[in-house]
Amino acid sequence: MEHEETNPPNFLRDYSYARSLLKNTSRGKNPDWYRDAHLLSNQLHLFETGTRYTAYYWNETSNEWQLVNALPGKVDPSVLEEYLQYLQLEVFPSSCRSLGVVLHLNQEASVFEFPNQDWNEVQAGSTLSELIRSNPSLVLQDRTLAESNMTFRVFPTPASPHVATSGCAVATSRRGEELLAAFREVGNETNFPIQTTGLSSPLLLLARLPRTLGVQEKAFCIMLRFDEFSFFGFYTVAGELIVLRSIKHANKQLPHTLESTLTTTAASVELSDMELKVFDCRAQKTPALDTELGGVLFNLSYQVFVPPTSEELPLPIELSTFQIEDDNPGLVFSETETFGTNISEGYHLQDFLSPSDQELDMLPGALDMKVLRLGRIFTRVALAACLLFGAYVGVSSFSKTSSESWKKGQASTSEALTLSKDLKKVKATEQFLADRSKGWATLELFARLFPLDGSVRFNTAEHKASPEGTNAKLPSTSLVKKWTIQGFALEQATDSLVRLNTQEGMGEVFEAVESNTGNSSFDLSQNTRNLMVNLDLEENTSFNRNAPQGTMNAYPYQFSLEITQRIESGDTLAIPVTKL
Amino acid sequence: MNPRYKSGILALGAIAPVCVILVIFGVLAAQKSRVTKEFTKREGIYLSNQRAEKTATGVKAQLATYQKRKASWDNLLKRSDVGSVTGLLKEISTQYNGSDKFRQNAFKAFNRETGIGAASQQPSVTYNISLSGTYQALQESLFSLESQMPNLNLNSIELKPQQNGQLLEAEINYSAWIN
Repeated sequence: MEHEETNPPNFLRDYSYARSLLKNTSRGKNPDWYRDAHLLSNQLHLFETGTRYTAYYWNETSNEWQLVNALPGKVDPSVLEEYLQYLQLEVFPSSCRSLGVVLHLNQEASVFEFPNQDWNEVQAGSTLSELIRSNPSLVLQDRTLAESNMTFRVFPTPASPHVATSGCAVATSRRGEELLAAFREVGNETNFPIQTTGLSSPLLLLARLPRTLGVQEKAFCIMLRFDEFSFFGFYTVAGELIVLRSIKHANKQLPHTLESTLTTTAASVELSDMELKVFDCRAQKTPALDTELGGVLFNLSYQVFVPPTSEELPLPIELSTFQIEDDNPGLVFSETETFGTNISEGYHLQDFLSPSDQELDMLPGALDMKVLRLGRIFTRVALAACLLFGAYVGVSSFSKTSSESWKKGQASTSEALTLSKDLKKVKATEQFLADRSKGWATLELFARLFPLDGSVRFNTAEHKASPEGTNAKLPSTSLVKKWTIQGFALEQATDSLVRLNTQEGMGEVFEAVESNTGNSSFDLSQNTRNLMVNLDLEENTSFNRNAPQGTMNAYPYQFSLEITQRIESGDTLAIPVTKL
Repeated sequence: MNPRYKSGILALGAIAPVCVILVIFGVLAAQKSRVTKEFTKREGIYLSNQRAEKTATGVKAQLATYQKRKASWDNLLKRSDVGSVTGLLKEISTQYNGSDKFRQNAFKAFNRETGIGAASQQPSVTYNISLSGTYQALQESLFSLESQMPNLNLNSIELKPQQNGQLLEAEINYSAWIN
């Protein structure tokens, strides 16, 4: 899993690297890769002791401390791998899936006051916490600082009289940084989450020990006596931190200037009356602290507190106070900013030996891995859905394309259409050829109008059939048929002529013609047909009784009979308009 | 997110897969839609064909009743020219050959639509026929003519006795449907 630290960002290569991390490591699944070391379930706490590191193992489930093999002062990766194998085989429970390595920095701690300066200009968009890490010389206005050997963090002092900068910088040595980096590197190489942190022992203890003292009646000063230095926290009676101080020891001895340092500091923060409470934080508690203090403090009264410990396994004070819950609201001073807000923001747990920005930049963050993992899950689920959908589409398409409907439904079969057209055409032809107006049937009508006894003689007989109101939008046009007969009649024929001039009389004639010829145009039963008859019967002006029989003058009457039949456009015998 | 990885992971780990999946889904959905649309169309045609098949059976039965007439009608409309009419009239005249009961006096054909024929979009021609004959001969001749040429529609007929004779004079005007 190589990723050169010197490589500039590269879109594809970085993505590929992140993917390989997701695929080949547990970074996508194990959130411990991105949790703080002191929050993990398995922790290894290291204390620098001479040329080696004393190590204590703590497991959340058992909640017990265990002294394990110490680490040599200078550790290379192969030694560290062996050490981890030892831990995994002999110390870790089977459920262990990560390790938090906490290096307690109790060899050195220096306090730096912030100088008076234009903070807006100095910070230029960065927070003071960020700036003190990257450029402490600028913040502290001290170019002589050994930045390569020292690491700086901000620690708030809420009750500081210096309003502009209610805090100070705490510095400690970078010694141990390589050890923690080696731990992380081995963790990365073995795909075992190892998170590291370097905690400043005095800051950690100042967050916990004052709360074991109970409510105070006076302002107080907590003195933490380490082998190499002493660390002081000055508090108001309410428990707000005013100022921090540290004093280096020469040959592990308390300096003779201790009393003057304390009184001067107290005076600088206007503490006229305070109590000094001293905690012995040394690994070896000799000489006795009381004796030491008696030799250097002459006017200041003090109290010495012995940290709780166990006879079975003597623990460093950092670990013996481990059970004190930082966020327990039942402890004293919970309402203060010092023990409330600042603790909840984790100022006492600041990692002084955190990975460099360059190292952090080389690895994808928790959110990166989460997005990548969710993206991969989404892609797999979506691809599976695509596959299922594709299968469904395939099966469905196959089912449809192999169905009879698909094979036989390509085009309309024209047989029925053709037959229907043929039928329509033949019916239309039949309509055109219908007995609409026929000559022989007309002659049959003429023959049946009058008696055959010679009592009637016709002069002219005409028939005309003509369309009425031609309209191309209608499928057929009305037809009017008109028969006109002019002739002469004897007396005895007048009754039959008059009868013809009635609907009934003419109807009988039409019925007889229809019956004898089979010509349906003479059928008057349909509503779409009507008949009108008009008889004009008058005396024959040229009548002569002596005229020869059968001549025009032999008839006393002359007549004109007009028969009109109207066949409406809705009738089957109306004239079809539409072309075949 | 680590700025170094942010764009790559978002682009290639989130946006690109979503786009690819959407494209795949889109293609599949389009394919499904295309097949479904075509299937619906073909199924409609298939069902329509099936219905038409049933209909065709009924239509065939109806057409069968017209089978013989249809051929002669088609033939009639196609060949209804002047020659057909004059041929028929000649044939009818032949039946009365040797007697004075029937005579064809004149025949004129006009390639224009008049009377009943003018009322329709169907093409027609006009025939003017002048006949002489007994009433019976005239009726029989018209019956014969109109039976063999049912496409003749009588526009008018004028019947009157001969001035000097025993026969009747008939002036007949027909519209004949043609194709």
